[in-house]
Amino acid sequence: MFDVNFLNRPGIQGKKRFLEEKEIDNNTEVEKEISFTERNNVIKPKRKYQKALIVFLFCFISLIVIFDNLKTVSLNDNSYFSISYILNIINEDYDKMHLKSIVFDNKKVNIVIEIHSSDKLDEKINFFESFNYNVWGAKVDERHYIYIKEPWQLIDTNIWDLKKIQQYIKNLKGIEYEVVDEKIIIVSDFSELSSIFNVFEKKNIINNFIIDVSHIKGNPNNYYKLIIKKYD
Amino acid sequence: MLSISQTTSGFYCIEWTPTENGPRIVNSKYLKIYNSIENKGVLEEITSHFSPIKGKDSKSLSITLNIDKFFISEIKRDKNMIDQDYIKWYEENIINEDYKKMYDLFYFPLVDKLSYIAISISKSIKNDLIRGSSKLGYNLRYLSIDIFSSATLLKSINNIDNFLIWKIGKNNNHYLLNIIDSKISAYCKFKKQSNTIVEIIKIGDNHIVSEMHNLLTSLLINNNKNTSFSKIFIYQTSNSEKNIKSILSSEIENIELFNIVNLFDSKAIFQPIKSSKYVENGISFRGIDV
Repeated sequence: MFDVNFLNRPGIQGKKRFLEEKEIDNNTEVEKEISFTERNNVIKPKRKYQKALIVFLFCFISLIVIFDNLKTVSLNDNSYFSISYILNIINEDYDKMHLKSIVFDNKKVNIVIEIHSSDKLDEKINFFESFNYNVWGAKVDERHYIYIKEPWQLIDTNIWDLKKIQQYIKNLKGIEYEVVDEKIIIVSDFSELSSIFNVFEKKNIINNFIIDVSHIKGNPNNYYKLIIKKYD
Repeated sequence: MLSISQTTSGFYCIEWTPTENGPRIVNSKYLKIYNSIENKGVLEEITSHFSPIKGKDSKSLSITLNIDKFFISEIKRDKNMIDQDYIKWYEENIINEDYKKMYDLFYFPLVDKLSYIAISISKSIKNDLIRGSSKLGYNLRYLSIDIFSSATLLKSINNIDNFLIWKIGKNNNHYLLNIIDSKISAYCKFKKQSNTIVEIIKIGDNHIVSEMHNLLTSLLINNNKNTSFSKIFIYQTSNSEKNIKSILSSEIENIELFNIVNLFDSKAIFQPIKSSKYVENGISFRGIDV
């Protein structure tokens, strides 16, 4: 049984982990009470140039922060997050990287890409970082992964509903789909997947649906399961 | 052990002691204090009502805070990532540095193993309570949160792994926590507004959340007795007992009052509904065979 006790160590809960007494002291930052005598007996260091130095350092740090912010703002303005663009990048290096999953919710989109070597991992992390994407790499069980997490907002609109999407997909050649419990489930290869995202972005409806893409394991043709659900 | 539970209606406090027949509540008090417990002098005022225990062996203290003092959210983990890696990444990239300085974050895995309920507690409140307890000579053993604390007691009393707890709050607020295999599957806060049930917070399995919504709509709006949950335990901490009495009078088989009247010492005479207002002290009984 889980126990909700906030005296445990913060982080993932599950095991009973109580803070040691020493840790409580360090973490809680309990202010030590200093007696009046102690306060008045403190020997103050000489502060000849201290004020001037503090002012100089403050100005210097402020300049760095302002410059850095300007740089960030300018980069953000130029950056444009597009899923079909990321899929194109994967397609260009298809023998060395492949998509594992794309998951949306109302706060973020989470894309996981498997990379075949650690060198390629570094290269691709640098590449995505240059677009200011929130990107992170990991090695799990001798496999290398890139995780891209970007802010995302779902928008409720009645312009496109599932029926309209269904009708539209019918016209996209060769794409197999099923409608189950107000969800469209599509099994597609990578190129069909790219086409679907391309269309969603061009029609500007990508934020109107909850989309979940996962790689179907154990198939030689790299098929993906795509679930589309209306956001409301 | 002295246990204090803070609710929107005041403080429900119990003092229990181990006996041959398990723990027994020897003293209980409802204190109409509306200042928050971390504020200066409040903890001192509460503990002063239990002065006889001072000087004896047991100076253990348990505090359960009202859920409104916490930020609660749901995090979905990437299934390809290890738990610790994901949380590390999440805290480094998503959580604001200032937030981390001000709050301690706790992540409780949900039953699907891919999501967490994330609860943040203000470090300042936590520190004030640790420091305040220590100054009064108490050893703060537990610091918990209302409905989650009562779940600990429910599990100990009934020895069950699957149940739903329903807390009737003030102002037509309803809090529901569903446990499957001793793990959280969903937690929701709903508000009854005229003839509708509005979701305020929803965390966990969508299907369960929807079933919770149906339960409230069925019982509170449509006056039906249908429920898909097999075991529902209901309690309330507000002073008005109208709502809980009305639900219990429907005599729905799966719904029962979460009462702890048997834990009270025989000298104390308690109505079952009144005893249920103390259930949020449940964390203090953690690990004890009740």
